[in-house]
Amino acid sequence: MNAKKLIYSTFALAVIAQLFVPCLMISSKADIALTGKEFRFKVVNNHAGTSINGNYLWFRFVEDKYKVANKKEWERSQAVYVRFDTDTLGFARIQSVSKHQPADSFDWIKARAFLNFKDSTALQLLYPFNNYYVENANLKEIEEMASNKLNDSTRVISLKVRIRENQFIVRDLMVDGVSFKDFVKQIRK
Amino acid sequence: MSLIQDLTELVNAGIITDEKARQISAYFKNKQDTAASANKQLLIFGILGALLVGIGLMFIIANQWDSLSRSVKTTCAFLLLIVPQLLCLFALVKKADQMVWRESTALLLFFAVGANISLVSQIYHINGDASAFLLTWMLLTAPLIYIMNSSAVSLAFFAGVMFYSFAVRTDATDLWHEMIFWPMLALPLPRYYQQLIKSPDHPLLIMHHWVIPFVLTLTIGIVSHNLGAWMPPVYLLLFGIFLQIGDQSYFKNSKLIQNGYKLFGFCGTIVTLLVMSFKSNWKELLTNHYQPGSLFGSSEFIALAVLIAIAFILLVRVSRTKSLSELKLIEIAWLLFLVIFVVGLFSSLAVLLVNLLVFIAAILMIRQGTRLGHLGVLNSGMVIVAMLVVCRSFDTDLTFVVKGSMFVLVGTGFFVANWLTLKKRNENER
Repeated sequence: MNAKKLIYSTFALAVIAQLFVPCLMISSKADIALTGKEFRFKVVNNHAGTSINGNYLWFRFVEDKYKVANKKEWERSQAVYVRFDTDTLGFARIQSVSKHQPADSFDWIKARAFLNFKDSTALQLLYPFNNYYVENANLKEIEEMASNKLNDSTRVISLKVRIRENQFIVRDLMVDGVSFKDFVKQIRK
Repeated sequence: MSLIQDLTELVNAGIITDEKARQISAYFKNKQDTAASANKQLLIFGILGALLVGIGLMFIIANQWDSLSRSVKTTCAFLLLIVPQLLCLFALVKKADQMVWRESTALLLFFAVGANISLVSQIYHINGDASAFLLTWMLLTAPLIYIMNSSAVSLAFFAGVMFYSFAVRTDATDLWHEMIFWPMLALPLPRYYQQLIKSPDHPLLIMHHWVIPFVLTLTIGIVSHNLGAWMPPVYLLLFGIFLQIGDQSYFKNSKLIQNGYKLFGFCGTIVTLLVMSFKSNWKELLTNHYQPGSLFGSSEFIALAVLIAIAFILLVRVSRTKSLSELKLIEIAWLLFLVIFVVGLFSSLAVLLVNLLVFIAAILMIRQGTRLGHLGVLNSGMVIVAMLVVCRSFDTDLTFVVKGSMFVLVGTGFFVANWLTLKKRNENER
């Protein structure tokens, strides 16, 4: 009887944990929405910049390289901590890249760093928020737009991201200061 | 049980004969088996049907997924988790003695937990490392192995831990991310050991004898960082340990197909030795000057030390049941390779020694195959010689005539050895 009680109570604990984890994920997401700092990441707006794959628009950011003094200190590919601040135009700028978690800041995320073969003095960074979700209904239209309108070098495209200690929310995609959803509506008109 | 007692009572009282009692007992046993078999089939097809309906519903929901509100999507994601949890509870309370119920509901919940986390991540655009996802998933489902007493979850858990080890190699920023792999891998082992004693012939347990060596072979590389040249002895020790486990008395009456340890150990040993028979694979070891401080603290060296300890403990256990002279060369190849490896730190003579080791091991196998008249063992030895010849034809400056002659000799050897063995076998049968 005692063994049965133990099994039932362990099962109850396991079930609670299984429900708690996704709830925690949702609540921490809500927390970032409130407390995370908003950064605008400028997107490379030429033909190599934006592409569509699956339900996502994929970007390359202007700020995705970091100069290093000695490339021998870095592996060919490794996980790094990237800390951000803002430049004079209000776009996100890399403040530092390190192998260790920043202790005195909340404005950092974990990214993948590769040694840049074209420029041996810089690390090429790959952020986890290099995409934007597009609903299925608009997919064909957006695909056309991505290759024509978004890869136009005269436009200023940026991704609004809220960041707090490796947690982030992609808030919006901005095209010439207009939200992407409104931009799509404008194009339709 | 009560029927047998009643029948014994009736026989003792002289009401029915022994023969009649046996017939009645056989009738009820047959009836019981038929009913159990029908129930099992019903259950299996029931689960299959439920799965198909579930998949169908998922497709229908997926079609409308984008148009659903976030709260509806979240409800769907949690229902996907709660329904298998309730099924598990039902199996635990009402069907605890029925293995099919326990195994199938536990496995369903195992996948539901992973699906739920993925869906919540997708709905709320929560990004994260694959390793963090797998770690969370595995830790949340590990208790099911014991609570539901489920071998199927145990197998799935081993697979999940294996994928975690792959993911963590690219995601890890701290050493503990990699270190946690080992306690995770050890989590299902107490139950595995328990099952070895309780139900050694269970098909799902036999699958463990394959999955565990498979997972360890693919994941041992997690200890490799900067001293890749020190990994061959680590691999060879691992395969040596597999061979010794496969030789334990527990597997004595098992068929080879039930003994994954032996097969992984044998094939792994041969492949590692063949890889190390190339000169180029010893270059790094010979040219690098290792500082004792960094070497002894490296994960490769620690793994080597731990595996040496385990291998020697197993060797001592094996030596209790059979003398060391009875051991086959392939079973102690790890020990000989350790000596060769030390030689390889100072001299290129190690290449020659490895080639000799492979060659002698193959010749001994051919001899054993001929003596026993066992074509499988004989041809395994021949295949090893053939592979050694192929390897040497790649990295030596021999003329095509010499290379060709080597292949002709091995091919002829195949024919002659098989013919002689078959002839001997036929003579013995007469």
